[in-house]
Amino acid sequence: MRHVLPRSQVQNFKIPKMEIMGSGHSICPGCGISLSLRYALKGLGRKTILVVPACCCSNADGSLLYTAANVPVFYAAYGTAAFAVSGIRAALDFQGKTDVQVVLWAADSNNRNFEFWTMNGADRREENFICVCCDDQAAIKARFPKSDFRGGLVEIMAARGISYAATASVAYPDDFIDKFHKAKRINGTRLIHIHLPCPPLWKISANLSIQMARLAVQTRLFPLYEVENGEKYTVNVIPDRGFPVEEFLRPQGRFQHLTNMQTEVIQKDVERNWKSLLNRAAE
Amino acid sequence: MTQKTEQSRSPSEPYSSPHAQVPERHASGPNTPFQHPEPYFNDKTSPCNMGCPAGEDIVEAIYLTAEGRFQEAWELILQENPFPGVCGRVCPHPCESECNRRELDGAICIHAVERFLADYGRSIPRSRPKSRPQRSKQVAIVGSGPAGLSCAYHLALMGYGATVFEALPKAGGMLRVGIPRYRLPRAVLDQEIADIRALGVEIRTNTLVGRDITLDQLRGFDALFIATGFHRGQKMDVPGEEARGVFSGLEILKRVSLGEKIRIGEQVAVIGGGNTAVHVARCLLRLGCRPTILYRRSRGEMTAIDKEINGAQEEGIEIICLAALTQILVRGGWAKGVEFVKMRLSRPDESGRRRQVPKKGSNFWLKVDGVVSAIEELADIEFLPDDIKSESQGILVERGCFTSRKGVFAGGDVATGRATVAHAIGSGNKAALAIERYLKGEDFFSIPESLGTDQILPRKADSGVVRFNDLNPVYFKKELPVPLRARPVKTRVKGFKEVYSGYKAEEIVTEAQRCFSCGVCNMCDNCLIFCPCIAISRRRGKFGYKIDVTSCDGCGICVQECPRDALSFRKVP
Ligand SMILES: Cc1cc2nc3c(=O)[nH]c(=O)nc-3n(C[C@H](O)[C@H](O)[C@H](O)COP(=O)(O)OP(=O)(O)OC[C@H]3O[C@@H](n4cnc5c(N)ncnc54)[C@H](O)[C@@H]3O)c2cc1C
Ligand code: SF4
Ligand code: SF4
Ligand code: SF4
Repeated sequence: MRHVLPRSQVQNFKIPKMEIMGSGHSICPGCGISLSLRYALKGLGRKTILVVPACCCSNADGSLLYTAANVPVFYAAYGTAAFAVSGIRAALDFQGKTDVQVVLWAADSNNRNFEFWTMNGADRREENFICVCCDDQAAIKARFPKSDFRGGLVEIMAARGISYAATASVAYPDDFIDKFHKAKRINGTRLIHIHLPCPPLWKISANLSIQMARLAVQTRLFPLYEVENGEKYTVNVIPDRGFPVEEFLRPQGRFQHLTNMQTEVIQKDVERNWKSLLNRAAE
Repeated sequence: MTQKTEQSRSPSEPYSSPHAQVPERHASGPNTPFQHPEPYFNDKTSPCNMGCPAGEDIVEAIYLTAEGRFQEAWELILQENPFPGVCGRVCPHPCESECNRRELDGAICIHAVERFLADYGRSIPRSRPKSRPQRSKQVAIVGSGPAGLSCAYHLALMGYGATVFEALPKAGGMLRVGIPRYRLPRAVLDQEIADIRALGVEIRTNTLVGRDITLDQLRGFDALFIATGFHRGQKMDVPGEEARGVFSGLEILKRVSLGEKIRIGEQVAVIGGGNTAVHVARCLLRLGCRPTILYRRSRGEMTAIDKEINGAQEEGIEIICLAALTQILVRGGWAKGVEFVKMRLSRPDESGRRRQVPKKGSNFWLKVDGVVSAIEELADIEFLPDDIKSESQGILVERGCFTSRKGVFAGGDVATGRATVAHAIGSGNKAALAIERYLKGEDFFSIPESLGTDQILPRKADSGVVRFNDLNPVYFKKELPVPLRARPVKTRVKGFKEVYSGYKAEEIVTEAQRCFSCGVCNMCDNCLIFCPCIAISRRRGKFGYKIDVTSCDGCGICVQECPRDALSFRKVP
């Protein structure tokens, strides 16, 4: 009976239909990296060059000589991605190809620990590129992850006044794509911090990964917001009702040891962060 | 981590689709590319479809309505039910009691959609449903109520000849002589019966089988379907019952319906708690009387449709419960008063049931000008020969419609017990299916046992019923249903104009868009958007998607994130 395509009103997310990324990557089931890359490319378009340091993301565009990303990918050695970006950018600018975006695409602790410093340098040079950090929270101290939940990366970079810094989540694809679309139209160093579900690390079953990513936003643990020029804060998703952080923590194997008291401390921390974020957005 | 299959989920537990179970081995850890369970699109049965006794494909009709494809939706309903205009008005909608949306913010107003579609269908020029080529076999049907007529309708669609015998001067059964016009305008009924006639069904009115024509005279037909309903008023067994001014409820409804005059005083006691009692009282009110309903059991036990009881109370009709009639006072041959005794509920007996027992010395009198006995009607089946087994409750049937004589079938109230119009229609539909098989020479045991159950089983879809817990609640936000619109009491009691009014097209589309489409894919794209392997793609120009199982890594996200449980996992051998 349903032979005619429905009108779009049934769709929960309005996102571009164009598909740049293809299938055939080799990441773990349920991982958010390939989804992130796919959404990002939907926002950035084909005129994009990816620079990927050695990290989980190196799997995201396929293995061996094949690529699922369908855009040029440059694999950089540990700790050298930002230099590679600078070089590629300079070459492109020299050729007058200013409409091509160069994206540093890095995952997990790698980005935080190593690429962060090189990226700092790039920022100092006022390099024109987008830096993406796929954060699977591997660096979180599993024993008591209080302070690690803070979206530190965006705050640090915003404090340095970069032109655009934002957080994104794979559970909110429309917001995700909008941010990349916006970042593309801005010049200067831009940072997008992606909250990335990682089933093996989080000890959840693969099918729950989107659900958990969504809960991170709904519990306000990982707020979706953006900062322009280090000043203009906008909170993009305000959850209808804030779930207790417990809902995010309890289903995950990695947090099974947390006591109620510890969860409460995290809850308070999250609330304080959320409030201060709202305040900054209201300024 | 293992997942549980949840029956009831506390709000703090994360939602996990029971169908997205990933075997432990795949739950976490590296990719195991060669053997993982594979997802597939698997439409399931929505609870509303399961709840409709007439077997309508409700999800589909609502989907079409939401898309603004009214004519197709209407034609879809007509595939099962020749009386959408009737049912949209009189059915107590068991479908809505099953609707999953109830758990969020109120059921979809399915009956309003049905009613709208029927009214829309009446308003457009259209081609009638086409029947299959004519066959030679002929079926006789006794009784032109909803059961008899829907059986005739389906037989006619299948190409068989159907002749309906009806005792009354007009066709329709209780729809004609029971349910009053303020609930079911006669133009709606007339049109739907005319459509059945247009298929070639012959209806012989004023023919009481057993008097005007005997059952034996119907032997010339290849099969016989009996759907004579409950039409015999019961005696109240109290002194004074024979006095003038004492009426049978059904008699009053019949006369009001057929436009005959009734002479009854002003103050009337209506005895009973069923549909008949409620409607008699409301009709009498409209004729200028002051009726009171008296019922021997408690309010909760009244068998009338709840909404109608409320309607009666809104209109100012007093309902006195737990009052049993003991005698009628007769003066000069006329009923002038009634005596009642108050009842109380006894202590629960061994089975936990509480019976009514009279309260001593609680007798009271009411001064009346008329009394109506509206206690439940019985089946009038004295015309049946002995070899068609029956009991006081009606005709005995097996598998829903087979009587003890070969080639004779029975359905509707007389076979299934007192029920609703939709049940009668479902019963007629199933009888038509059984009769077709019989006429083709198939034996009794080839007929699916499911025909004997109350529900019409779904056709194409997986028969698993999708309940609220199977849906992904994240995607549904609260939106209240369209409110029902009743005419104000003041004007409505002045005549027999319809109490509830219909809806505008935009309102109905908005209402239909609230539907979750439980278990049936509506191309919301969620699975496609969230598939990390980009294994799901749209089918070009067609409804639905393809899954490239070689790209899929069995993560189960699509099954989990489908808002309506339209995907399942299966093990790959
Ligand atoms: C007052 C009243 C109000 C109701 N309101 C509702 C409502 O709002 N919603 C709802 O869902 N249900 C309602 N019901 C119940 C519903 O009307 C019945 O369940 C339904 O009509 C049963 O259909 P049927 O085809 O089995 O029998 P009927 O509709 O009773 O039809 C049987 C037909 O057979 C004819 N007949 C009987 N004996 C013979 C014979 N020997 N020869 C020829 N013809 C014969 C009768 O004249 C009658 O026309 C109501 C019932 C009553 C009494
Ligand atoms: S929400 Fe729609 S599909 Fe689901 S039970 Fe209600 S009417 Fe049926
Ligand atoms: S979401 Fe994609 S990869 Fe995961 S099970 Fe479904 S089709 Fe396969
Ligand atoms: S997620 Fe949406 S598109 Fe996919 S199967 Fe479910 S209803 Fe259909």
